[in-house]
Amino acid sequence: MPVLYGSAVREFQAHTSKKIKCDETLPHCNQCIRKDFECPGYKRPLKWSSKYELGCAQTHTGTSSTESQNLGRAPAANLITSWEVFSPQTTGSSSDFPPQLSTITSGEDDGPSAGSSHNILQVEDVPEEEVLLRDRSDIASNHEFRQDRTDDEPAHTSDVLPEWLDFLSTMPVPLEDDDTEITRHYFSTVCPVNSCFDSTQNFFRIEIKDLMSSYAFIYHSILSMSAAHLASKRTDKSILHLRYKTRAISALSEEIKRLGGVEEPKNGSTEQLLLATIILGMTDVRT
Amino acid sequence: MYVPDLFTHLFGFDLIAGLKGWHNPSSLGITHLHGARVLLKRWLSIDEQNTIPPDNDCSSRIKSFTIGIMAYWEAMASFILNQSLDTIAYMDCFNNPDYTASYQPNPWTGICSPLFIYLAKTGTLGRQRSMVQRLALETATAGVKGFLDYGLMQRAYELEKQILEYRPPDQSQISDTGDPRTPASHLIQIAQLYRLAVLLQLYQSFPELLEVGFVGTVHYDTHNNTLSCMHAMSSSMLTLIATIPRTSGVNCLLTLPLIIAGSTLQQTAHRVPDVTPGLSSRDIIAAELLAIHNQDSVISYWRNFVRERITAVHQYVGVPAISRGLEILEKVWAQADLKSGLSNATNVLIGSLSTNLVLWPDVMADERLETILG
Repeated sequence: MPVLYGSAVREFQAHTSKKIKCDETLPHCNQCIRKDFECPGYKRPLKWSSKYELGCAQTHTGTSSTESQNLGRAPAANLITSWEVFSPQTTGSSSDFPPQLSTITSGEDDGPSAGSSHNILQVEDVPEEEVLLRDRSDIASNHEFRQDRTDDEPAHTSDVLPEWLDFLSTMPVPLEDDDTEITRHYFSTVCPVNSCFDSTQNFFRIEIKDLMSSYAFIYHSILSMSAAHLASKRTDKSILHLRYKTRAISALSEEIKRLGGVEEPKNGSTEQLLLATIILGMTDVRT
Repeated sequence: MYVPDLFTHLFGFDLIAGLKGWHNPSSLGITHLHGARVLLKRWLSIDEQNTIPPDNDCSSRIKSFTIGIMAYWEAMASFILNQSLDTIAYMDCFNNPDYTASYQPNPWTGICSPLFIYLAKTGTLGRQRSMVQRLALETATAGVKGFLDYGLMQRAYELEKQILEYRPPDQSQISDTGDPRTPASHLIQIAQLYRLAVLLQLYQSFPELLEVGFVGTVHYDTHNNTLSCMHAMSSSMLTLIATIPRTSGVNCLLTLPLIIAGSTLQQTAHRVPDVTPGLSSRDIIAAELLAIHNQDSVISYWRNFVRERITAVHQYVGVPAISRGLEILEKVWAQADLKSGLSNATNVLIGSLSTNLVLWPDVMADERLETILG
């Protein structure tokens, strides 16, 4: 989004660098005429601002780190990983923007089938450093620790932008389905507070993300946990927690049945079952 | 019966049982815990049979993560479950800290997973002690009580030795967290904090362990002295917590230490120590320093600190169980103040300290406030 900053300023280059305020009179400005200079024309510099961009696929290293500091939080706490899950109905492209997320079922909305527990999800393999800055104000409002911000830091950068851009801040949040919302909540809010450190080393952010793409019961367990966390602030989401939990248990049951019928556990899925069980158990006590 | 079939039936039963508690808000996830134990034992047995080392770092990271969070879960559940120490014996093979290895921080236990195993044992022994002491109300069971209590004391003594021997790993052994808010030094602080928390929780249930150490040096009220020592530990823990920045990620691990330290802040029938002639000046000042922690104003200050910090942790993590922790603490303090008032009125400290101290796990159970407080 191009942003035109300030009034036109003309730079006059002479033997000594000198700036003259231009009054924008055409064809030659009065300032040059009065001072008997040759008017070199107008220069209206354009700058690109990513302030209100959502879901940009590029890393805004400088911007994110600076603004995260303003919020008194680490960069990773403000960031969510780029996330994409393909739906049988609407197969997304990795180049689609904004990222899409839909249910993992193969045409059924009630939960995954047993045979589709592997590789039914495709999570975009985005480098961990490629993260998105999103919902800054929402994240900041979740934690009182933002009070550590010093008073001389700007409370929000909107007051340094032209007023005519303010309408952007009132734009409604794009509609998103439950899976997308709960997954976004997981990466943006649950991951930072569900671990005693949050970075690219955070197990919940990295390894679990990979497991979610391969195991339906892990995916639904995580969404159950995330929905339970969200439900503590939004009671309308409590039913979601139960829905995901039902799906997780169904997927777990199917996986256990499958395990019981073979000689050896496939791909060591016992540890994934264990993880899902722990996540479900800990979610139970936190609701 | 074929092993996987046995496992399937066992775990399937657990899952079905778990379904019943889904819509119950007081569900404690215990059925899931039983299932997880079965799965972990199965996984470990498979791992033992497999002589091929893990093929990548991811596999070892998953194992380290899983063992850590199981230790965490066992520790939290030990305060709401009546169980034998044998139930959690399967974790014993993980509580031997390697002082030469490098440590990959665990999301839920930091760098001190062994301490969570000790905490699980402490919680289990504490519940057993409470049950035994309630048995003692019946005179007919006095002999049985003495026998059981002796066995518990022995186990508590052995556990205390293990905790005292534990040392947090050196900072150079800890892998970088990658989180600028949470450097490795915070994880070391958490290890120190949990070590004190486990010890303090053990002393709350078994104050006699502290009294043993005072023989020959204490010349005034043993009850007050033991409690003063616990108050000093509590103050040290809270001081340590106060130094942890509120932006640090380790705030999510502070709930249980806050509850253990906070529940120790109990006023007792306070008496000025009767200093026996013959004590050296250093002994006297040491006793006076300990007694400072017993002062009402000091206790009140730290209680307010605990209230404020638990509220902050609750707002940070956003889990309702944390606010229940504060509810438990308020009830502990109310009961302790009532007992203290009665003791002051009669000027007599009734019973031993182990029966006089109000224990937060007992209050949690009596008031039907059981929850996992992590």
